[in-house]
Amino acid sequence: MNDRKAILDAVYKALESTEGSKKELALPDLSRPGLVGTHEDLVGRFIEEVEAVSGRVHRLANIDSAARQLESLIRAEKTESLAVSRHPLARAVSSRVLGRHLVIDPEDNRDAIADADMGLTGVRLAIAEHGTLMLAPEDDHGRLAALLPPHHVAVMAESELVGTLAEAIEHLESGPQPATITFVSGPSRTADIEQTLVIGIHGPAILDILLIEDTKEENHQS
Amino acid sequence: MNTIHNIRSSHFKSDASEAIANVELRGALARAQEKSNTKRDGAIQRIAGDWESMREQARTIKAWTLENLGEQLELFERNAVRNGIQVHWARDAESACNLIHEICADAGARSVIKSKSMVTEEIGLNHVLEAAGMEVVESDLGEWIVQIAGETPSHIVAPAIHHTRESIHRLFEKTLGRSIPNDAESMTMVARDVLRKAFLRADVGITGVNYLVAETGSFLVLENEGNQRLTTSLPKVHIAVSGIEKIVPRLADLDLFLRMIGRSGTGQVVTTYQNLFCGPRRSPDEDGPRDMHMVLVDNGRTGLLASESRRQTLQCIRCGACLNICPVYRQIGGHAYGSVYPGPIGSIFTPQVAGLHEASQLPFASSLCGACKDVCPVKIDIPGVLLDLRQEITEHGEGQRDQDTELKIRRESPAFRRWSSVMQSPGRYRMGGVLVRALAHIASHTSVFDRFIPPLAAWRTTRSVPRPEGGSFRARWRRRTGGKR
Repeated sequence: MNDRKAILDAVYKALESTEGSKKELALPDLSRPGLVGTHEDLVGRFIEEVEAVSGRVHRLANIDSAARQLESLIRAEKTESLAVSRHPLARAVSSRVLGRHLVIDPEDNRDAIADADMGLTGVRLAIAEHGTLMLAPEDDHGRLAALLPPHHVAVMAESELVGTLAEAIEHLESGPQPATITFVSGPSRTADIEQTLVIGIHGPAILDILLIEDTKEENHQS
Repeated sequence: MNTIHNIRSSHFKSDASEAIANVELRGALARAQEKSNTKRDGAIQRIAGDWESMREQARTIKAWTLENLGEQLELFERNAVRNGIQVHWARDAESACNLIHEICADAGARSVIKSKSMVTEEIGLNHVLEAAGMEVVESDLGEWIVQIAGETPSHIVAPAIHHTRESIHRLFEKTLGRSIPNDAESMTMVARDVLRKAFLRADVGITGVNYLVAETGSFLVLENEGNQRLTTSLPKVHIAVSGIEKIVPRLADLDLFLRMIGRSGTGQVVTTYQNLFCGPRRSPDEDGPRDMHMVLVDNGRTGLLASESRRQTLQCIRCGACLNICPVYRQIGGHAYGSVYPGPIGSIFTPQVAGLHEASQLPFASSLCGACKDVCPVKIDIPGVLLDLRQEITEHGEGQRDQDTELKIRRESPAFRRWSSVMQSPGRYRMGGVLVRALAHIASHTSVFDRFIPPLAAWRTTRSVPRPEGGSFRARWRRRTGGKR
């Protein structure tokens, strides 16, 4: 008898013989209210939660100001190489600071991405209540760019912000499931040595989020 | 055969005594418990009023799923296969290890990277893969520490909780053969560098599972370090290993469980990373694993399903809150339990999975204070199951008890039989009262009993035995009422 049949037979037999319990339980309805407040409140909550888990949010008016912010991050962190995902918004921002920095395309081999100082990606959406980014790597081939370099910069539009994790899951239910979804709340962390918090172990040590109010003026496809 | 790797729970009594004598260990445990409980309380207070209803919802979902486990597992399998995940079933530890070894061998694996997984500790996977000549590297910092120390984890969430910074520093310098700064940050960065190389050379990545989602055939795994993202992104094969009980029916259930498990386990609102896997990469030019395998492990779990009260053991979401609150765990740490699942949940899981004969002392390793039940996010009645197991061991466990349990029962049974007979007869109760008062009277004046009852001597060094005054309750009641009833 194979293991599958052995296990399932044992499960059905054990549950059949149970006295009294005739499957009276019902699954609870888990729907819950969204966050209350205006769009400003939503953005404010997001920023507060990201900062609570040691991430940074830069609120920017448009793609040009996002590019300037990226430049200043590059200067501040002495970034020499930047791995950019295929996400249109990431490309739009990076194309305006190109030339002065080595740009690694995620199609390059993974060693080059692993050696990059910074990874730039887009997001599928972001969740205000926990300060979480929802990454769907297959959207923009950004899986390694968001993971291997010690500094992850995510660019997103304010319109990509939702209130609760429940809303993010609803979004997932509404379309085909991506192969992988990663929810990211802050830079990587560990406390395995005497419960001492250390930021940045295997994943990025710095997480910057460029939150762009108006991304409409995408007048370029470089 | 259903086994837990490296189990030595039949040595509980001597191992626990040894642990209690270890002052360094007790200091580390006390500090860790204080810290995690403070953080947990803070995180839960933020959602104050809702916590209790969330616990009830979580319990109901888990209980419902266990009642419908067969259908839910088959549904998961159908959907997972449709997503391109190769689903395997393993009835016990040996079968699971062989299966995983075969997958690794087929992939031509020389090097395997792992992210934290309790079920692979349970089945002793590393041992099997290493015996087959493969390199196996644990990538979670705490797991890596216990791996290079040649130990097993002492906590299901914080594997190296029994170590101090100094002991880890000594271990790192010895293993790497060079000097390293003695602070947590530097040591963590050294581990990052060593492990990054292991990630890049790994052929297969192995993870555990937190939630299998039946309706979508996907599964979710939690972490903080990013090691699991690397484990599932770099190697060409991803093998996930899960106990059959780790299933929830709906994707929406994750909204509830993800808001609870971080708060309950580590006092985080949510863990840093939550990875939802729904199949291998979908086109050759994408990153990520080419093949994704799911190994569903029974290893004794189906044996817990028939009894409704025992079945709740399988509701566990492995958050570790019961370990963090337990006064027994605080004193002896995880290793003394002799099972990779220590603490209150381990004391009910281990004997039921590995067999009473392997762990008959564990159900007695509790003061039944009930703190574990109060913190459990899925409301497992751990003290209730402990009592149930105690009864089984005492009344029907003949031939399944280890030496220490046998001795304990042989010593205590006559005393409880006598107590029971005294409590059932007013005459004997009265006689018993007279005797105890007389003995207490003598004990309060002299040290004559110390010789026969060594613990009494120790107790008396800083205390005096109270002297009974004024006769029995019955006598005083008679005096007060003048003999009327």
